[in-house]
Amino acid sequence: MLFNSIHFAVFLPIVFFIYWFIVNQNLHYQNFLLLVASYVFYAFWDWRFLFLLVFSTFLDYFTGLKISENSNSTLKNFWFWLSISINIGFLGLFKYYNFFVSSFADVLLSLGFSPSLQTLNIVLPIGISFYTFHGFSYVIDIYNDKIMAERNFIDYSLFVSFFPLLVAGPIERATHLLPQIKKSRTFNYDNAVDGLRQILYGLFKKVVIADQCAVIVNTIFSNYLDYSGSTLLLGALLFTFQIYCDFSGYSDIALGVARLFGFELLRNFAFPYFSRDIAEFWRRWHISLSSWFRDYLYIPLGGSKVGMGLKIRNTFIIFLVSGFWHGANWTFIIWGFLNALYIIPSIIFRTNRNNIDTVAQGKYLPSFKEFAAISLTFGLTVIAWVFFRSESVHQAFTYLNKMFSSSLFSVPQIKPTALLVCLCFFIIIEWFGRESKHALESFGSRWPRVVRWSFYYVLIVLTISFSGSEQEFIYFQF
Amino acid sequence: MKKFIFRILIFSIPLFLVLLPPCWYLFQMKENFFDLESFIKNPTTDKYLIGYTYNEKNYKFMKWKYINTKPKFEIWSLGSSRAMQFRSEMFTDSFYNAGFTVGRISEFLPFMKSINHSKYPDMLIVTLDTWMFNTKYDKVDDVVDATKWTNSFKMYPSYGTLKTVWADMIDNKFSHSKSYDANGYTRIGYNANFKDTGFRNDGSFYYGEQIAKLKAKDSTCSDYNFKDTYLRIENGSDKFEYGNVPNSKAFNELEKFALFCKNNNIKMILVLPPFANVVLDKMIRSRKYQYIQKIPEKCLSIAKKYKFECYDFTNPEILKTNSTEFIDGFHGSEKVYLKMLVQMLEEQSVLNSKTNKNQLNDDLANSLSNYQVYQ
Repeated sequence: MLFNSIHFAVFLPIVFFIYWFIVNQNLHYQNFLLLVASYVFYAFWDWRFLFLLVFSTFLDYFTGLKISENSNSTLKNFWFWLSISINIGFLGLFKYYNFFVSSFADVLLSLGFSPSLQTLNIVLPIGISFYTFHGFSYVIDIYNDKIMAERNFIDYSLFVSFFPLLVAGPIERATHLLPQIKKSRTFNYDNAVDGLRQILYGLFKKVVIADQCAVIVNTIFSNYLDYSGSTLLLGALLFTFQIYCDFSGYSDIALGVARLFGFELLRNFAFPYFSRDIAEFWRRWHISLSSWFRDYLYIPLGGSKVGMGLKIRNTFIIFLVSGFWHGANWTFIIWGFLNALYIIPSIIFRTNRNNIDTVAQGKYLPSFKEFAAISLTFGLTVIAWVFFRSESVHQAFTYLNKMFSSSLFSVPQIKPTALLVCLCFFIIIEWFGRESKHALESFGSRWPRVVRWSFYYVLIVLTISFSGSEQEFIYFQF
Repeated sequence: MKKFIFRILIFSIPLFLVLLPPCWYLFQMKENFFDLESFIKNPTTDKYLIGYTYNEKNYKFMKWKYINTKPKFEIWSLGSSRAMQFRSEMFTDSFYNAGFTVGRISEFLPFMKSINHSKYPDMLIVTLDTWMFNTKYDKVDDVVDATKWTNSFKMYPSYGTLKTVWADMIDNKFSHSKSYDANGYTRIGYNANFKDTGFRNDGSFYYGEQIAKLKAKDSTCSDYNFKDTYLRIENGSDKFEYGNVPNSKAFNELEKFALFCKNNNIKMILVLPPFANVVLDKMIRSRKYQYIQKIPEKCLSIAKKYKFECYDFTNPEILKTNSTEFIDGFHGSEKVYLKMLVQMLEEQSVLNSKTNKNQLNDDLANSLSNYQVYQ
């Protein structure tokens, strides 16, 4: 089920009503209802993969208990590695098998062999990278004695499968979400209203900006050989906004929906395109994944408490793994590599924590220096996104080569005027809302109700006017 | 909680008032909120008529999906609305009419590329419109990609559709409309329900209400006495733009498409369909459409180069037809298209292996009317 579908528009009020009006007196019933709703939500895509989700949940639940119960380190290690290897096995089979086989075949081919390796025609189960990572963090935390294993299977299953975050995150931690599941929840008016605002803004970003960008981006990237450099630049810029609005739009809806049920999920985006350097960008982009890699990969590798050489190695490792997490294609790996390259100078010169605060805090406009830094960081991400969006590495290089040709200064062949107006509107909202959790939290909050509601109606009308065909969220494929 | 529910209801009232009435009509008529994709994959009925008023773009998706979902069809008809009159009854092998999917010359190739290779037909009847070769209609400089077909379906109404439905509701359009009986058809869309018009299972188009009005000589029919087409000719607009020389880029596109067909073992049959006699006369007398006369020769040379067939029926007299067999100024009826097919067979077309000429001649002799041959 997509958040931007009529099905969800019917599903959500029904679950909300039962949750707060019928089973509101009993936490166990509430959790059970949310679990059933989450499985229904998932089954709308393909019910057969529910078995995989339930199996993966049961595996981590069971191995978690075993790790927790065993003081014998050999047995503890056994259950731990069993869980990790089966989870990796699933990811490897569904997500990476074909990539490894075809890459291996390419290597053999380049060595003069003629391999006949079989790839598999398998569907990638939606959200597998997300719910597997929930399981990983849970089992690792138990192994490291950070948490106790959860004994209630319903509660644990809800932690893995809670429908707002099931298919595209944020990637939650047991330490953050499980206590909320265990605690009785009361309805909070302000939270619920702000949740609705966040949902509205997420839908606006998805339907008005991301989906409209997608149409032009798809056209340009599919026919990049026929377009001028300026048009290709337009395509790259629009994809930069598309991916942000698509993914952060999803996260906003997820967080907003969770708040309607009394949950606070981890924040996933913090206005990353206003970052003044790449390090700041990565503290603001897909925060739940970045922090996951920081806690479960970077720090165990030594983190920043090692020599400069190892620190650089660790940085490359987490960016390459992050790229590979996104998909089984060399384009994602190069995207990760490029981001590692961008960030290395700030690690060498120890400037990676220079920009911790929000840019131009309390001011209407940034200083010239801040503006230049934002523009440079944004430009670098635009180039990296070309790799992320391209079908192959060859396409990405050809695209960039054509983009930086003399035709870069010609008039673009495509002029999406309405979309550009919407984009300006969106950037203004983002800029003035950048100091809050989500842009609509503060934007317009001091306006009289009539004006504020009128503004929300404008957002709704824009969303309806651009809606029509449901586009899947990009991050579903990961 | 009460406060929350109350505020939500108050906030939603204006939205409901604006959205519900048009959505209700669209839902009732199956214009929107109807899962066309599932219906195409597993139709719940043997015969259907799909005729949209507010969502005509859905047709592109519908046909694209149909071809990609169903078993391979041996013969296709491909082109604009002027390709829609070929029927499956005319062929002995499986046939699908993909008319209305392609409106410009540069769309033929991307459309075929968007189709699964295993679904390519053995024979492809390509209907070419004269205006495809007119620079004033199409400069042939746009890049077309598959999203034109893959993304053209709208499950939910857009703001524009809601606005149009509101305008139609204010005009009392729905209360004046007569709903047609099912008559064996499952009807999807306003046109199918209220105008007895739409696409049949084989992709061909049924002009129900228009034919009824033409038979009754009802002056409210579309393009009555070709007045609308004449106006287009006088204004040089809406596909009847003037021109002296055909666009060479259009021929380049056609050649690229011919090469593609050759490489994929598809036998292409190029067809230039007719105008109504009186319409063509008016165009010739105006001396503003010189480019049209130069199209067949160039098309023939491209067809010859790739060993394909090309038939020029621009002048309807070749078919011994007249204006009474036309739906409007530039759409021949089913009968005209059957005459075209018979003429192609007479000229030893490869289509002889996929048709029964004697049967077709019988069908022609027993036509239901000037406009219809088959039920």
